Amino acid sequence: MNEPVIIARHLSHTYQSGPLRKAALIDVDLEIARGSCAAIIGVTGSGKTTLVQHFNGLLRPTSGSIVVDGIDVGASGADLKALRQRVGMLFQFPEAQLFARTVYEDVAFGPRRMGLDRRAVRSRVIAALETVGLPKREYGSRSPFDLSGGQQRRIALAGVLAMQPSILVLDEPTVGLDADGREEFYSYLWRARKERSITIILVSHDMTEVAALADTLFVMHSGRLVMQGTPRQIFAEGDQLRKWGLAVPPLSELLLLLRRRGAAIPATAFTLDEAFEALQNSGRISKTT
Amino acid sequence: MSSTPLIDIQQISYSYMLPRSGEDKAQSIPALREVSLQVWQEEYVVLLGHNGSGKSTLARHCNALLLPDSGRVLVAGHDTRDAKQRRALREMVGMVFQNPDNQIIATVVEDDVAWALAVRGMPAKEIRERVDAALEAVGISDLRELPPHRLSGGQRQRVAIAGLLALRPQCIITDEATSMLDPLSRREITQLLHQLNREYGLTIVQVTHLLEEAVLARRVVVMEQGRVVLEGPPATVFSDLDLLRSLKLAIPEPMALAERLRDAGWPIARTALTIDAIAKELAR
Amino acid sequence: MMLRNIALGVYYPGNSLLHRLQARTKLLLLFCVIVWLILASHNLWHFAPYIAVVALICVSAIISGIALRYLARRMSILIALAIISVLSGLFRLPEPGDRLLATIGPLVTTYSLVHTIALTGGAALLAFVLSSLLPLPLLRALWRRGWLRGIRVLMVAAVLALLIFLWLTAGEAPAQRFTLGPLIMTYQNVWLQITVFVALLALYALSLLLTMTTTAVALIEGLTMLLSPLRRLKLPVDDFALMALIALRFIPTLIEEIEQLFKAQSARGADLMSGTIRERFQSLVGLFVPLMQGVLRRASELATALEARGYEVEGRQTMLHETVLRAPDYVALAIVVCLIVGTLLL
Repeated sequence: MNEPVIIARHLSHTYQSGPLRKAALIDVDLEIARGSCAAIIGVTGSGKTTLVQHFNGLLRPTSGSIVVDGIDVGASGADLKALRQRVGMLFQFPEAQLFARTVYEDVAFGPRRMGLDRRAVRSRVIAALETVGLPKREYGSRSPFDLSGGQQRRIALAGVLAMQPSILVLDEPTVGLDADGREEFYSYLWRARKERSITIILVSHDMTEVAALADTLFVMHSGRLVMQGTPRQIFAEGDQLRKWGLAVPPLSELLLLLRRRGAAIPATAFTLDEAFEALQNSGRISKTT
Repeated sequence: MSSTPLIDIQQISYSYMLPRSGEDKAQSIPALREVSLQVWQEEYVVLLGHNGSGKSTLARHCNALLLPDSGRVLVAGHDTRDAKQRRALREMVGMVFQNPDNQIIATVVEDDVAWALAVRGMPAKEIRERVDAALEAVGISDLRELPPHRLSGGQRQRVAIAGLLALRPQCIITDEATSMLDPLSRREITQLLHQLNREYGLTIVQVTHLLEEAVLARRVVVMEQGRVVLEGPPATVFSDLDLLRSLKLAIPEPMALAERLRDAGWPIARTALTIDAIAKELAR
Repeated sequence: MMLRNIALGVYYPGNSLLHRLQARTKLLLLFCVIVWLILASHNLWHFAPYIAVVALICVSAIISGIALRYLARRMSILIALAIISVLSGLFRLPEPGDRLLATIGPLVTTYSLVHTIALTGGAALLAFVLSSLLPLPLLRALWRRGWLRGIRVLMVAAVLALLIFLWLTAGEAPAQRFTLGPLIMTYQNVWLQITVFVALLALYALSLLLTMTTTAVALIEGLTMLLSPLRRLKLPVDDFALMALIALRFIPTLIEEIEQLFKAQSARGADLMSGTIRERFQSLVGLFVPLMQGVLRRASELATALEARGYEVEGRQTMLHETVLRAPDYVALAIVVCLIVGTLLL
C-alpha cells in the first residue's frame, strides 16, 4: 500500500496522579498507511482512546515513539500546533461542542485559530459545508442549535474538515444515530475522504460498520495491541475476540456457527455475497454427528 | 390474559410546536396521526421505527409524560388526563430513557434504586427489602455501593431498571434505552428485559430502531410518520424485508442472507430470525 | 484525567465511634462547641474550656483513627495565617477599663527623615521590579525563581503604598514631628487574641473531623432533619436537600464532560494560554457555552426521568442514611454538655 503516515514503535503511556499509576498503553507497535481507513477496536479501558490521543498530541508518550505525518510527537519542542492542524479529531457526540451563534462562525473557528486571512477562512468554510451537504447559502447563517442531531454532527465534522487535516480521527462517530443517519454520515465522510485524500482512523464498537469500512483493524486489549489485520482476517477469530470482550459482526457470527456445525464454508468468506455463494456451492450442510 | 388491555391507546393525535427564531413563525409538526394500539398484560411488544417515526412520542403518552391533542389513552382503565391518578399511573408504568447518565440522581447505586421509594415516604425497612430484591433481579447486587460515574453504560441502565422495579410496576417501557450502548451491552439489556418478562410477568414495551432487538418479541409494531404501518408477530412483520428497507430500517445481515437463500429456493422457515435459529435452519 | 482525581470532600471510610454517630449528632455537637467558645471568651483568663476543647479534639481524632499529624498538616496554612493575624492584632488601641500590660514607646522622627526613607526605599523597590523586564541574562536568571515572581506583586503594591503615603503627607513641613506608635499591649487584648486563635483552629479541626467521618449524603440528610422545623415556615428544606444531592451526584460527571470539551476544542486549536485577548476569550466561550448547553440538557432530561418516577414536590422524604439516635449519640451529647457546663461554671 502507501507509505505509512503514522508509525508507532514501543509506544507506552502511563498515567500518574499522585500515588496512582496506570499503564494505559504497553509497548504498541503499529503503522497506518496513508489514505487508508484504519479502525481501532477494544472494550472500554483497552487503551484505544489513549492511543488515538497520541495521534494529535493530546497525549505524549511516556516511552517509545510515535511519528505522525512526519512529526515526532514525543520529541521536546515538537510543533503540536502544526500537528493539530494536520490531525483532525472528532470526539463522541461532537454536536455537544457546538457553541457559536451561527453555523458559519462555528465552522470558521478552527481555520481562524490557524491564523488564516478572512478570504482563506471563507473559502475553507464554504468548501467544508459543501462537503457535508449543508451548503453555506442555506445553512450558514442559521443557529447550529436549531438543526437536527444528525445535521449538528455534520457541522462538527465540517468544523474539523475546514482545517484541512490529512488525518481524521473519529471516536464512535455514529453512536446514537439510526440506520439512515449512519449511512448519511458515512456518505459525507467518504466524500470528504475521496475529495481530500484523508487517512481515516475510526474508533468504534459497531463491528458491522467496521467490517464494511475499514481496510485495517487494530485490536486493543489491556493496553496492548493484540491483533491486527484486515477485517476478514480478524473477524474469523470470533472465539479469541470474545475472550477480549468483543463481538463480531452478526454475519461472521452466523458463519462461525455454520462452520462449527460442519458446513463447508471457507474461512475467508466474509461479505453477504460471499456467504451466499459459499452456501449455494456447498449445497445442503450435513450434520457431523 | 385479561380482557381489558393494560394500555389502551384510542385514536390519538399529537403535534408539537417547533420554536423558531427570527422571522419564521412557530411551526406545528404532527408527530402522531390517529394512532390506536393495545398492549396486553405480560406481553412483550416492540415499537419499531426510524428516528422521527413517532415511536418515542407514542411511548411517552403511555405514562402521561405527554397528553394527546385528541383521542385518549387508558392505562388500567384510567385516563392519562386524570391528574389525580398520575402518580399511581407512573408506578404502574415505568420508563427507561436513552441517556444512561441523565436518569440517575443519587451518589450511590442503592440510593438511586431507593430514591423513588424514599420520595414516597416509605418506611426504611421496606425500602431496604425492595431495593435488595430489585438489585438481585437485574444482577447488580455487587455494585450497590458504587457511584454512577464508575459504572459502564449498560450497568447504569440496569440501575435505572432496578429503580423502576422497586416500585413493583406492571409495565416497563424502554425508550431507545440501548442506542447509546455498545453491541454486547445492548444484547445483555434486551436479554434482561426478556428475562423480566418471563420470570415476573412484566409487560415490556421496547422502543427501538434495531430489528435485531425485535426478533424475540411477541408482537412488533412498526411506525412511520406518526402512523402504525405494520403490526404482528415478528415472523409476519419481517417477511417483507424490502418494505422494511423502504421504512428506513437497517436489515441485519443474517436476516438478509436468509431472505436471499429463501428466494433461491432454500426451505428456511420464516420464523427463523435470530442467528441461532437461522443456523439451525441451514443445517437441516 | 487530572481533574478526575480531585478528592471531593475528605471522607475517610472507617468504623470508629465517630463514624457511627449520626450526622445530626455531629452537627449539633459542632454547634454546641461554637456556643461554648463564645461563652468562654467572656471569662477572662479562664483556660479550662479551651483546654477541654483541645483535649476533645485530640481524643476525637484518636478515636476516629485519624492521625493528629495529618490534621496538623491540613491545617498548616490556617495556622500560619492565624499566627500572623494574632501577632498583628496584639497591638491595638486600648478600650477604656483595660489593664496595660506593656508599651513599646513611640518612635518620634521628623517628616523629612520619613520622606527620605520612603523615597529611597520606593525607588529601590521600583528599580528592582523593573529589572525583571530587562533582557540581561544575569537578571533573567535571578527572576526565574518562582518565589521572586510571586512576591513581585507584593513589591509593586508596596511601591504604590509608599507613593500614596508620600502623596498624602506631601503637605507636611519637613521639620514636623512624625510619631509612629506607641504600641500598646493590654491584658484584655492578649486574652482576646489567645481565644480567637484557639477558637479558629479548634473549629476548623472539628469541621475537618466532621467531614472526614461523615459522608456528604449523610450530612445533607442530617442538615435536612435539623432544619425540618423550618418547613413550618414554608421554607423549601426538601428542595434544598435534593439540589445539594443532585449537585454532588453530577460533579464527577461534569468534570469528565469539561475534560472532554477541553480536548475537543483544543483539537480545533482553542488555547486559553496564548493568543490575543479576543482569541482567548473565544476559546473560553468555546468551553463555556457547550458546557451550559450540556448542563441544561441534562437538567431537562433528568427532570423528565424524575417526573416519570413519580416525583412530586410535597411530602416528607424517608432518610436513607440517617436513622434513629442510639446510645452512642446520647452519650456523646451528654459528655459534651457536661464538659460545657462544668468548665463554664468552674
